[in-house]
Amino acid sequence: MAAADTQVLIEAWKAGDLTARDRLLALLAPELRTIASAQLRRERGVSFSSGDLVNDAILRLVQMGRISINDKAHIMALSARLMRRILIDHARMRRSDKRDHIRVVLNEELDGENGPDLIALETALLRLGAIDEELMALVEMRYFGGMAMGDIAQVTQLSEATLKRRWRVARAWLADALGAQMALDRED
Amino acid sequence: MRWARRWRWTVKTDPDLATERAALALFEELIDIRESDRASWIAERTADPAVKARLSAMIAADRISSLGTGAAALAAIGPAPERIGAYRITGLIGRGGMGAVYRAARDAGDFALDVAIKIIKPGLLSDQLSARLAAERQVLASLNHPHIARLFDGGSLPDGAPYIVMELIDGQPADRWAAAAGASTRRRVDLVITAARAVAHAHQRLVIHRDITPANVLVTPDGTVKLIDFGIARPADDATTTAADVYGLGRLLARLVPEPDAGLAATIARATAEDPAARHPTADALADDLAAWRDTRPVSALTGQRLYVIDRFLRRNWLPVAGGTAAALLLIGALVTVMAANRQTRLAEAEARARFAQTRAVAKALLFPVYDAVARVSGSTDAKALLATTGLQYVEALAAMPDAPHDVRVEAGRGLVRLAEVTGGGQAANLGRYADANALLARADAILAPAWRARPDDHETALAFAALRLEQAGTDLYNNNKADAARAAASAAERALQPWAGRDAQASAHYVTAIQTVGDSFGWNDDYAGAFPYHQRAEAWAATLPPALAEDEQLLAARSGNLRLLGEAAHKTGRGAIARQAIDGAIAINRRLVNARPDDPQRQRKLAISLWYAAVVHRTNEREAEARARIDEAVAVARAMVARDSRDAGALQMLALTAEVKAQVLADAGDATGNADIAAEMLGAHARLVALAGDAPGARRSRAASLRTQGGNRWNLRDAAGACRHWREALGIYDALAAAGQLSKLDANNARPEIAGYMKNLCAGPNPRWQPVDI
Repeated sequence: MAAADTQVLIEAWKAGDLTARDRLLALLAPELRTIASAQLRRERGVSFSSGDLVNDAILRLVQMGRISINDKAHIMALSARLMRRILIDHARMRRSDKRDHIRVVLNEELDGENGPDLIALETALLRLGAIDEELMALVEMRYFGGMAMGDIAQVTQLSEATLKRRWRVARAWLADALGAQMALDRED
Repeated sequence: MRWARRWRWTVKTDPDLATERAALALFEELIDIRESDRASWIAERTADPAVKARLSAMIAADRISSLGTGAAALAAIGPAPERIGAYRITGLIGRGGMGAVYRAARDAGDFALDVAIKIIKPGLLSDQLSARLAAERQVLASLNHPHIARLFDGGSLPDGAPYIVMELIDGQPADRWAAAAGASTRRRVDLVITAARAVAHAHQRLVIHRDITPANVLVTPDGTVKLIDFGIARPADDATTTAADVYGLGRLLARLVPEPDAGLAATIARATAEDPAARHPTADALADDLAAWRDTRPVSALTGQRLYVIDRFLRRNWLPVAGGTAAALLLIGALVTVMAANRQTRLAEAEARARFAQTRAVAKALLFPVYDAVARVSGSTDAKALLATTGLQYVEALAAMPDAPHDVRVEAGRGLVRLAEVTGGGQAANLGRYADANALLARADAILAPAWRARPDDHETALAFAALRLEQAGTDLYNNNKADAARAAASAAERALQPWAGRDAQASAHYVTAIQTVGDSFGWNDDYAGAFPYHQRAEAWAATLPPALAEDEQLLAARSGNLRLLGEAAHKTGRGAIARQAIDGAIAINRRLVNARPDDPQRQRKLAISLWYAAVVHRTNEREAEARARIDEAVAVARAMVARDSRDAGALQMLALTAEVKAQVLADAGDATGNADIAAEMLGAHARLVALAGDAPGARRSRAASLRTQGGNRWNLRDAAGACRHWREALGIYDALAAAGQLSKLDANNARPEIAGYMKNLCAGPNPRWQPVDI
């Protein structure tokens, strides 16, 4: 796949075609995953930020000529979605082997020093997505993608002020949902 | 995709989706609503108990996440039980190291009650301590104090975790409340005094709190202090004594007053002494210390300026005020005596009650009738500030007392608005200190908004609330350059006045001003077409009033202001006949008002404004002689105002405004020397205004506008160097405002590009030369 193909899909996505976004994700996923996994392996046992991971992945894609730097924000959003899946998979693996522990520190903590249980968060996030898909996407971009509000504004076409407010809404909803997470786990 | 499929599955099986969506949408709006207004805001929007429960859960969660409690710690605690005893769990309030606190509703069918249930992690307490907690619960349940959250019930869950059912307090931790409310040091000290008295009450009944922290001292939206978690906040050990609570209160005080003065610092040091024996022997002793500090202190945040104000007052205004209002001086003398007596003795309770009434009467007199009498005397800006500050000290102290009557609170709110007006209000004579005025209005808002919500049908309350919103609108529009905020505030005033407009003169006058201010919020941003219908509506409404109201001086004053703006909007939108009629109407009313009370600065101001604007309109229509006559009269009125009180920012504004038009008129006539003289007077007034306003954008904007006009005048007088000098300075101001995001739309669209164009086309090079140009 050449940069031109990616470009067509990005333009279609910007114009509102969400299947283009999904196709783009499918196209870029193998490379993003390889980059992220390499990072995870290299950084094993060391704290890292998922935002750094995404940035690193974008940088490599640009260097490889796969995407244009002008599309950075949109590709970051995609990467955020992928990063969410990668991190959840790792968390599930970790749960099955607790002694082999990777400490995942995310750059946008929900609260305080420690991040929440990622699997619980994922459960809550799925429910949030059912209620308001945009809020879920925002959490994905902000929390898993470590994206700056300016970049998210570019992708969502919403003002930064609106995004900040909605981020606070999502945080509150998730904090509440995580407080009652066991009930949610049973539903799952 | 796997996760996409899963979420669709969730959609189908989740029955609460609509509730969640409704709650999320409301919560997003709720973020901008003041905490104290939230309950009524929610009640107006939904009656659905499920949505309400979700909203309160999210509000609680939002509080946790802003506090930064570790989410991992949240996850470490087990699931919430569905019910405990007779209570059904409805939400999570918070979680911490000791366990979790839930919101719950009584579900036994006998009576409705919302409570907070604290579940302590099993295994945290030894058996011995659990037994002691159980014993202490008995005593706690008998504690009945207005500032201590009630304990209703308690027991153990099947897994052995002890739980306690408590009164549900909808409040903020003390430190967050103080920060959010911008509470004065005095209010913070009052809060600690209240907490200390409550602790003392508990100590007398052998209950020790053990963990007094800001998080356990809550303040409800109506300002009530409530201590929660008595005796249960942390594992008790036998060594804990009442001295631990004195220490906790000392820490609370230190937290609330980070920069204590010498007196408070000594109190904090004693209460938090390493050696328990060195601390205050009882919580009451600590409260007494703080009360003594409070009673020898002036109230307000303006403490630093107070002495200065008195000094200025005595040096500059003693004679005119003494001549005009001997009664005011008698009252001040009485107050000074009261203050001195206060320092020497602490009065007995019965005597204090009697003094409450006396103090209130004196304070009320100072704030209202005496203030009004002094306000009519020219040169009284400092005197008004002194009166308002002094009166306010007393009223605010009274309003801060627990169970203060509603009308006392309203008086305190009115007093704060008064003080804000004189400190840096948008319209009347003032000291030009805008930041102080904003802070005072915020304090007034904290008192009057809840008071009005509690009693919207009370005449005094509605008027006081509307006066606050009007003053906020004026401040927002004329000082802070925020037209949208001003419009919202003015509309709120209009709504509050609706039931009273047309029934009494004051409400009617405020009503006219409220509609007028909505209109002016459009005119401020160059939207005269938007402004016109409001000014027209206000005038049409005023014109229908019966003579008894229409002839009232308050109403005449409000009407003349609106007529002037109606004239402006009509003039700008090409309605020449309406404009002239409106402006002449305004001048006629103002001459009448000044003749009735020649020394009233507010009336002089209104007359000067209407004359000024008439000159502007005549000049635009090239009626030179009429323009000259009007503006000469206007400048003369303005000079007299400044001469009487050179610290009155309103008078300086008037001089700047009228001098600017006179400079134009003289330039039109080709009088270069006359133009330079009056322009120097104008720019001098602006320089003083900018200094008085502490570089506020409004004052700088006015100065830039005058520089722009004078640049044009000099160009028309063929003085290219002079023109470019003025424009360069104006452009510098606009650029600085733009860089700070403070440039108004009007200036961004008009003034700034225009001057930038002149600088580029006419002023390029070291020695710009005059050339014919159409300016």
